[in-house]
Amino acid sequence: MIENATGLIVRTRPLTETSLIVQWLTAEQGRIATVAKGARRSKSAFQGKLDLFYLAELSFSRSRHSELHSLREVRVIETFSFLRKGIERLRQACYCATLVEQTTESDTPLPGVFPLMQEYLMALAQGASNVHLLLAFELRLLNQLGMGPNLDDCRLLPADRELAHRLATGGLLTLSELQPDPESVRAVKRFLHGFLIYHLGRLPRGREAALATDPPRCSG
Amino acid sequence: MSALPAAIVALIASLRSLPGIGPRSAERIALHLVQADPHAVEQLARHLTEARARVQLCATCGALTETSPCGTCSDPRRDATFLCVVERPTDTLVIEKPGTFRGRYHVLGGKLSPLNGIEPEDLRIRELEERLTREPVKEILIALGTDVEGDATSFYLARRLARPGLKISRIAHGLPAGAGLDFADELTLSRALEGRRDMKQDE
Repeated sequence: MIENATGLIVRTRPLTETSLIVQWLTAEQGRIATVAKGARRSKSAFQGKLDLFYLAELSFSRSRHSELHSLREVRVIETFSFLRKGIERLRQACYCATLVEQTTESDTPLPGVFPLMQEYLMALAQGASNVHLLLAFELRLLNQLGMGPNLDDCRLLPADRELAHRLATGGLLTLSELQPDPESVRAVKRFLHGFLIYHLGRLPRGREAALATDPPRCSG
Repeated sequence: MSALPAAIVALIASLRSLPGIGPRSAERIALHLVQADPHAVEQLARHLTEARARVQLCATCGALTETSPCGTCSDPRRDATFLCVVERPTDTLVIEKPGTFRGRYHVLGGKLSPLNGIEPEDLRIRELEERLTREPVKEILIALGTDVEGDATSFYLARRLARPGLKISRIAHGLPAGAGLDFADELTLSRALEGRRDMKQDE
């Protein structure tokens, strides 16, 4: 049966000399893995259409026997090309994808997570101050999955708690205007560090590197 | 239970681990080898062992070689002021094919990949910086892939290697030679438009 979806590519890896496994984050189908047969051939119809964080419309045949479905067609909507121009932003987007991967099951609808990831990439493209944007993503993802911390009953100081509340609510795009106290940002970062280890068992790979630097603002 | 002798099954399993060889090809090659002239098989085994033992990575550029430094690094006719940065050792062979590049190489050994935990310290970037201090390099040509990670690596390198008197360029990308516009996909075409060049340069 052929299904259609709109999805973000969150991981690609070679399957054979000519084929590629493409992992997507979609709203209705959740995280799905597809095989793009022949995608690594120079004359493939998929050539230039399957790369990290491309937003695309896809159609695929669902496999009855495994979680690896067959990709049939792709139409690219957005490439988020700003990610190519700086490793810092790519590192942060990759960390978010890893966090989603670690906290969600495949082939399960994720109606709130897909728009969150999309909005995060758009905010990143606008050149938002990335450390608190990333913390906002973590808080919102945890809330979406029903794992969010109770901010009214945690060890954060009132000013830090207020920042955490601000990061967890409202539009991500509006956060680009926010200029929080660096000390509060550090406190929320430390709090989420411990919270993630406690609830996930281990810290997702790339968190330290993603939060290490606040990259220079870019025009997108 | 397999009707094949255990030695052939083991040989098939070894052959299957090679790139581009599937189960049927592995079985065909294995059955050919066990029925071939023993001298030819011994020679093949010797060549395999010798090639693996002799071939190493050049200490200077990181390309495949039997002697270090490699032929390209030690060739006085190669332009020592022009350095081409590639991702894998085999990429040097691809650049050599047209016969137009007369500079030297530097193999990074990969590309930055946050998803796979590959960071700058995992690549041969420090070795490249050291070469810049001891070799008379005037131009670096970055010849990495054009996927998101390849582009991010190229931009990272351009920023990190920037210094006075050093030109940093990148291989062009766009339409394949001899192809018409109607055969190009929209992304390739948009990148070809972005990378347009002044025709005065070609005169």
